[in-house]
Amino acid sequence: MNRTLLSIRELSVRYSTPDGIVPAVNDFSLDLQAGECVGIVGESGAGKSQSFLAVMGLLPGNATVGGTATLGSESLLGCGIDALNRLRGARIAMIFQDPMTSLTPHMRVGEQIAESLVLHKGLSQTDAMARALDLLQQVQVTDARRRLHQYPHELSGGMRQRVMIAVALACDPEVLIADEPTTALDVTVQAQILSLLAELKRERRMGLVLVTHDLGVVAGVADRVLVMYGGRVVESGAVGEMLVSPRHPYTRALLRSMPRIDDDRTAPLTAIPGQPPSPAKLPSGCAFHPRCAGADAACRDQLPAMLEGRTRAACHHPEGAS
Amino acid sequence: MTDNAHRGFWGDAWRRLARNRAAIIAAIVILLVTLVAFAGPAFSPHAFDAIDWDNMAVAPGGPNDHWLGTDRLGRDLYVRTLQGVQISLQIGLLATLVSLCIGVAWGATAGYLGGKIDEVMMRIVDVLYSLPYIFIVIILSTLFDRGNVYVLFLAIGAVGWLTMARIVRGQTMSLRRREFIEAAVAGGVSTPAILLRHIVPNVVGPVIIYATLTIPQMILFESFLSFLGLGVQEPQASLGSLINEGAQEMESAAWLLLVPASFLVTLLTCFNFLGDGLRDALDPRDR
Repeated sequence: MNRTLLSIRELSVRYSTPDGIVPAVNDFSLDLQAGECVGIVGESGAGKSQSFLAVMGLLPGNATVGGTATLGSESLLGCGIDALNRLRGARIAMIFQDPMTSLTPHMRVGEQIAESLVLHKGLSQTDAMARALDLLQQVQVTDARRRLHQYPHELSGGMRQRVMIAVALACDPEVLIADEPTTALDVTVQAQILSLLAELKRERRMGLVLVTHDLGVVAGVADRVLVMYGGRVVESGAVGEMLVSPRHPYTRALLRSMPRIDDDRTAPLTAIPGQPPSPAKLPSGCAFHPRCAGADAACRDQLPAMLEGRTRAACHHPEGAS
Repeated sequence: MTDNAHRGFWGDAWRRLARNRAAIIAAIVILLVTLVAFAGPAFSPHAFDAIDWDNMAVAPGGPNDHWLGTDRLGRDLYVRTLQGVQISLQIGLLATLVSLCIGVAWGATAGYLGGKIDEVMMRIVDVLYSLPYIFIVIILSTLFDRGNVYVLFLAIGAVGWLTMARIVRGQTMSLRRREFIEAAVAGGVSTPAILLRHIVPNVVGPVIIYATLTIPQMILFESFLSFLGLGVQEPQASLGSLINEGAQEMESAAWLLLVPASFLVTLLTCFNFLGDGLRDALDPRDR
């Protein structure tokens, strides 16, 4: 029943900069099943966006990508630009953080949706526009027939993000990568967009990757969560386990820093001390050790291995270990 | 820049242009002069190269139907000047169009692809910049048939695209990392299609401005070449060649210089005003 759509193995991203090689992502692996939503959580600079920009071939020229990423039987990394262009937009699509700037300003909304249909499905312009109208209705854009002929600046932020989703979904991709899809939107619109994404995922049995820094977003939609820190996955597991009893101190700290409606509301929110590390100056050993209360000599010196358990955690002293 | 709600970029630009009285007047004058230049000669009984043996070097306003007088050979100055305006305008537009096409294609490609390709392409531009313009044109004018000014100006357009290429490259580089380009790349749109559909329409503003300012440059350049005797050849006339002839007689027959010169000055001034107006309208940040 479960079919692996996207398989990422030991992905690494390195930037060569004037200051030397900067590792942005290390040893990132993920299997995405059909109809599954995986949330990728982490602070800025944790490498969560970088991993998927790498998969989509969107990194700038000074980045080197290692590892493998396969979509079904097709390799996404190092397959050449033409092969990649046949896959992206058609079978794997991406939506971006800022719907204000992600739509081409001088093109009508309908044309932007139709563009990929003409490109990948070989539809005529007329058929593509008819399909674009259909898609706008699917993403619940009100008054879709009129919106089709409007320019992006005539739409509100939430409306534009819906259009972005329509563009991404135009060719019925198997995998949709949403890179902070709701960060630029206000809270009520966030909820609408998230439930729309969840609904579309269910209907189409799509694989959905939700990159976010907001655990609340993940809690509502994701089936599985990967927490990233300093370019590495530090903990992964089912969303229930991760939110209720995480094992990695970083995940626990993240949760403690967030208000929860079902919790003791008198308990203080604790910020994580210190700053997230810059990828250029990662601490030795476990990258989280300078900010971790339970760190000892082993944490400073050795990179922790992934330990199996209720969740998989990369920590020398995971919660719940004997 | 495009976020002015419910009006759109072009609507806004149009409103700003309409408020600029100098630019609107300039545009109307250019239209009028163009209209007169192409329709006007039909109203005169004379042809541009016909010699009137009875009226040689007569001043304007004389008791004949040479409204603006005649030159030393008895050719009607009214018809010849309008003929000259026609040729100057056509040449200005043609050369600008050629430089526009090459410049936009070159600049957008270099700016979008970046890296080594960009380096090589822009170094070629630098080298061409450093060659003396007039030298190239003189060589070209000896290669081509001297009478054929259109071929010559096709060639001038082909070396006049350098600044356009630099402007477009700069604009493209600033667009390249914008999210909507990234979104198009993520959608599997090929590089040529991104250039054509997502980049070039976004650089249209600066391109229009620069093109409007290039037209008078090209007209002036044509006049300069014709003045040197390299451009339009007799009996054809351009504004430059007429001014050249007029300058030789300015002490005895000043109208031969003043009539074509005033047309040239009017056109150049108007194009410059229009170009300035367009720049303010399309790029309000630069005010």
